[in-house]
Amino acid sequence: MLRTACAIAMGITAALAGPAMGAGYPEKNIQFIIPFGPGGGFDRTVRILAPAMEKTLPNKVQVLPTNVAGAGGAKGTAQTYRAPPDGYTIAIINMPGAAIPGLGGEDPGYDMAKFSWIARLATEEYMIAVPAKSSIHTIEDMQKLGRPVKVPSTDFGSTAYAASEIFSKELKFPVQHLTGYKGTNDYIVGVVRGDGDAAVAPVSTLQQFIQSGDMRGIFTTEEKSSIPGVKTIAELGHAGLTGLGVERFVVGPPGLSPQIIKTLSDSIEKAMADPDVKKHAEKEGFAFQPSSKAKEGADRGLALYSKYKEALVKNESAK
Amino acid sequence: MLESTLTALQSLFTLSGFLFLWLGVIVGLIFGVMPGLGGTTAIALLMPITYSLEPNQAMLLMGGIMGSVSAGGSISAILINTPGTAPNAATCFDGYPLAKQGKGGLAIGAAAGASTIGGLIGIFTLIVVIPIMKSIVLLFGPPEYFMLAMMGLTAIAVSTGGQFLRGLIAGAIGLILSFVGYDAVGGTVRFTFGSDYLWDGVPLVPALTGLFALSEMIALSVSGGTIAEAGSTSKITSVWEGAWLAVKHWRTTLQGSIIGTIVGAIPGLGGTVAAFLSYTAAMQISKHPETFGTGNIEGVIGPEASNNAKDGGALIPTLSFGIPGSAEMAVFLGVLVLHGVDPGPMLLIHNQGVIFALILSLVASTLLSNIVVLGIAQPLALITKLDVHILVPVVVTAALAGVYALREAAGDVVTAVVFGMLGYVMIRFRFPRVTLVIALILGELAERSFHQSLNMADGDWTIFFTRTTSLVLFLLIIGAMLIPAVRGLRRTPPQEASQ
Repeated sequence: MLRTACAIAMGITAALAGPAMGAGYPEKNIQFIIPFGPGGGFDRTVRILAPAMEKTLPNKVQVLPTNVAGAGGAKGTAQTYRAPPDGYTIAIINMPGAAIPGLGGEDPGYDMAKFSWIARLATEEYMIAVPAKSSIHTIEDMQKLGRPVKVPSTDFGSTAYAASEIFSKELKFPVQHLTGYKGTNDYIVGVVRGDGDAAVAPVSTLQQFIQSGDMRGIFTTEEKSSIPGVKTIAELGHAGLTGLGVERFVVGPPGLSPQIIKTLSDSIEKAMADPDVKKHAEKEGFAFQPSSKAKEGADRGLALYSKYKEALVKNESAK
Repeated sequence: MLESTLTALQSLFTLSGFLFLWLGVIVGLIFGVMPGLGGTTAIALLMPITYSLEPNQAMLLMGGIMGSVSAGGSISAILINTPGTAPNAATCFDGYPLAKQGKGGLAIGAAAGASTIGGLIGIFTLIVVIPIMKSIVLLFGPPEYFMLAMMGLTAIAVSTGGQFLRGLIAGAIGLILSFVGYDAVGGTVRFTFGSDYLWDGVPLVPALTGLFALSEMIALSVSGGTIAEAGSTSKITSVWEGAWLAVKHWRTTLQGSIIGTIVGAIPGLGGTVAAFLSYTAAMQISKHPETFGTGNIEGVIGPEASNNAKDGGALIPTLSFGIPGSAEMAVFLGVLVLHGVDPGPMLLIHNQGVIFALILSLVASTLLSNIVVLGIAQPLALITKLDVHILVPVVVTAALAGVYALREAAGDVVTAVVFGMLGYVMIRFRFPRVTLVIALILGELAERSFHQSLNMADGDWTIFFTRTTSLVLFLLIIGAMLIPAVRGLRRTPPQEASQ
């Protein structure tokens, strides 16, 4: 008698658990991990998107932005990787930032290639700029400097470091990295001050320093230059570097079901049409790409960075 | 520019503006009082609320928080030796002994008075300096940061409180601890024992909470009794008397305010460094440096003036280049962006009104929060009469809860406990804790700036002396080190004079 009761109870529980994957999703709150501290670009992106997603998801659940800062982003990224693939933990990650630690063969706690790619949110192209009174005006000037071009950045795994290494190899000018600055604006001001020769940073950030007259742009990796007077890298003859920059992807743990990925991707797409999100998206340069395109973009990025693996991995002898 | 000021004033004097300001002040005071939590957490948590607000209203709220947090923090620092926020840690050294003598109300009053004056001086300096902000920020690069860090580290020598060798040992331990973590200049990870937890270094807030609050609670449980020793009384007037003392000791207050403004303006240093430097500077100009640590009111006035002045100072790099001058500024920049305000060199040009609203709010909040503190100080000071058996469990729980709430990291609680035990050992064996803290805070900055400077100069160490600002700072350090020697010479007049 007891055994029958247990069997019936288990049967009911199993039936109730069934809809958890797929049809009834989402049934509880979704945690949206931000692998960085509050206040930064990734943080703002998620905090604007999350309330809009709550309105566009099929059921009424909350999307909770959660900061998990540490290890330069690796901590939050790894936490997402290890989470159960039930659609209740997703994250925003930074490419190439998240990819670089793995390139060197160290184990950052996740395998980039295995993430479930939900959407590609934003691409920020990069630019090289020099102080307004610098003697450097073109790429040739950098090649002919007679010594390495000093490029300050925050740290070895940063996008600016990776971008400047790639520029250095492709455009054939030697680069000396001055790492240790606490943030992007810090090292840009460092260049204005004369600590270094050139700053490699997102166009949107450097734009203000050009507007204020403190700096001058050398080139940008955009398809169409948004800064008057500054050419694109394609116009200067190196179209292969177009699009190089930092990308923000929304990912889930490996093995997420295609239905859940589609639900999330659609929800984000609709959220992008929300007027508040649109306003901020324009300012920050969001452009949504759904999951199918996201995986393509990620694979392309990973291939590019793998090509420069040796340069990107911290090189002891370069110091 | 006048128009922007008027618009800002207008938004302050509306009912909703006033309410937002008060909301910020109350939230800031509460977060300030609770150990572990602080301005950064408060601003980050309230960020979502600001979505639906107008930019000016958001500034009133944020300014309200920033101006009141350290006022709240001084209360816990003085009454229970628990820094409410890291910058209040220096206030513990003389504030708590005063509370033990039954003068808790006096100390809080002095702290409130000094905070008000310091905060106003900081903001005033900011306003005066706005036209030349960018040039000032450009004067300070890695070599200058190194010199400033060294200036702070040399303060260790004068703050040993009579236990010179022990002070140096504690300082050395602080230095060792400060090097733990990821080094961005060399790209290596040091002493993290393979885990992520120590990747960013020893977390400061849990360490300070343990070192001061928990260790003191252990000491109290061992000795028993109450914080305020029996037989001492504190009169109602003593709070206002305390505030007046901040005016009476105007040299210390002014010095603290100046140090706070300058240090606050240097990105990466922040309020904690400002408070400690101000503490040691107060000791240096005092006629009775040996009384510091036993309840000298100047030891409360100096740090409290500087940890409010730092807010005005921290806005200098924040407004001129979008470089956060302190941790709160870093989160605050996020709030600005949310409201369509781009931090960077164009900030003041495009968004004057919003910035003036913030400045106005800081002024109002500094005044209001300290008035509130003065009002509630007396009843709060009665905590010091509570028996240890009630007080210790409550404080320990509150401190650990606050530390956990900071990052939801269990490791932080462990850190606090470890430092609590370390702190207790230091109390028992009479090792000064202040030297450990100074070294812990400044060690990483000193090392990183040093290497950055050498990188910049391709290994040429003369860079520290060929850059004007750096050279000036170096001479100041030498000068500061010579003051005690000069004083010693003055006290013993040469033999020839008497003949």
